[in-house]
Amino acid sequence: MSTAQVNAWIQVATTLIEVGYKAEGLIKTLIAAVHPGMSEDELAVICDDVLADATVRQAMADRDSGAA
Amino acid sequence: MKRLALALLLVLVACRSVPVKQAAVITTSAVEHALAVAQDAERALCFVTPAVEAGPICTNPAAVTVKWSNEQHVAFEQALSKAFGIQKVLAPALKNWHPGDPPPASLSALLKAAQDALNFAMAVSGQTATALFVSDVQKLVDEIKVLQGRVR
Repeated sequence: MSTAQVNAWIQVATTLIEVGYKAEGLIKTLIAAVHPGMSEDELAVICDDVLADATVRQAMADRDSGAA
Repeated sequence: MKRLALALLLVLVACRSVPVKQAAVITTSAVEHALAVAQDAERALCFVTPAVEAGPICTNPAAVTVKWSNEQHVAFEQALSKAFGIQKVLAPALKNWHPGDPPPASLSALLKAAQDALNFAMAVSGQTATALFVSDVQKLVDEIKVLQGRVR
């Protein structure tokens, strides 16, 4: 499964949560859906995506809290 | 019923076979997405046009209707800032996490920060459509806590 597909799965999971889908067991299903042998490069891309989005989101939160 | 039991068994077997680093990276990413959705939901409650508005003062009359104050808005965003800040530390730590090394301590910190952020969101429970979402994210965090036991 490619990194793009993994990201798509996460997006689907997030959307399901957003629309009220019961999240119980969702993460287990999500992880089970991803093949158990993701490469270091694939995991690195996900980590980089988390870092990039968290940076943007934290800046947004700081603006809204008046800290920035 | 047998098919359901078999499906559950397959999911559990597949889950156990996933390396802990992969499980940690995927769950961290899922938490980041869940918090981002929570942030968007809160901003939609607080601002009339969240795409262009920002700041500590809510402009949406809906916030007044559900008694979501400016102080709660600021506290929620402060909690989110802390959670996202931990993710900024955790993501590179996970990326450089090698087999045999202890798991990054920031993984536990992330779960605590995510919990704190969701506690603020729970303040609007039962009064808006976000209540169900918050409830489900709470279950998601619980799932991740279970997974964290495997990471240790």
